[in-house]
Amino acid sequence: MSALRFNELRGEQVAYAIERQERTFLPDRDHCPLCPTLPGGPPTEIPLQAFEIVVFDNRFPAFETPHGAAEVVVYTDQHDASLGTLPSERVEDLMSVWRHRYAELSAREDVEYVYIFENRGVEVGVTLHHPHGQIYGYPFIPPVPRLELSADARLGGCAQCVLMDREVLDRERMILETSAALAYVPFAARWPYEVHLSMREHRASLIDCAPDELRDLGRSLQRVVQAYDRLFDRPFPYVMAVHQAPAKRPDDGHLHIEFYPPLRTAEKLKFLAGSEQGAGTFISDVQPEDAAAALRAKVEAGGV
Amino acid sequence: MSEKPQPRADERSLEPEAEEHAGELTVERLRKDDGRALIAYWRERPER
Repeated sequence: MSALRFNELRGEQVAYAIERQERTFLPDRDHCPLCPTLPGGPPTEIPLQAFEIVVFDNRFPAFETPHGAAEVVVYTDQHDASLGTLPSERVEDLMSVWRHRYAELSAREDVEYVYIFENRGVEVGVTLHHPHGQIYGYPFIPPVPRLELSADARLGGCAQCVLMDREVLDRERMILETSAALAYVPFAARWPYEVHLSMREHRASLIDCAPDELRDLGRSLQRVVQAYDRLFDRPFPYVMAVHQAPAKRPDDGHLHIEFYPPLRTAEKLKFLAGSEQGAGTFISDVQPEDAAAALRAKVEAGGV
Repeated sequence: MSEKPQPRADERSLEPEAEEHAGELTVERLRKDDGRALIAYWRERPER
């Protein structure tokens, strides 16, 4: 059972889930717990011989009932796939799954913030290679979403709408535009190839999106990830963070997806070191406009 | 005449709880042996 302690000096919660020390760590593909359970094979987390998308309670939860939730979202039964290589229909279906989980978890009394995310690559701490994401239902609003709510107050309205308008006017950092979504390297990106994929219209959460908007979001998401993989001609590691309205404040948010990739070149990592960790100030080696130009070319190389 | 395939032991242990839809997907709620919830989302749900 995990436990929370409040770090007074930083004004934030820290979760202790010591059982997670025992979680499966980079198993070989014959012992992948996210593959289907096949006849004669070892049982996995998914006792089905084939599946499309599966969600289950994390065996090693950072949060659990009655103090939140931790779920695993497995995108496919194909071990070697990725968001970029899945059929586009599957990524569109994933948006419906996210929406379903957001709605259900948001309704729980012990969940204040539903956070959908994916860690991709050992560079960001992945312990299982099978394509999957996770969902945490926090029993509080975590610091980053809370900062975004503060930005709304500071900018006198939806911060995401304001920032997106600026990017549309500037255009220099835009990498993808569709009828429903925009993707850009933010003006003050912290990570070398950080990208924000945002709903063009104000949509507080996945629940507010029409079916065609969800399909567009899924296609756009896949195009961003494919551009990443083309950038250095290798699977591109990232943390993907879906930000939307807090569970009990359904109007206070703007659905967008932030990517934090740790690579600054094909071989070099951006580490969070002294300035980032001790002072909270990112120092980046890549100009956001240059990152956007490189990524825009890779999006265009993939076509629509 | 071939024998009708029987579900495997771990499939038999999954007890269906309900069925619903998420967009165009069929939602199949199951429960694992240890009590944890598992949800399968299907565009094309196989016959079982």
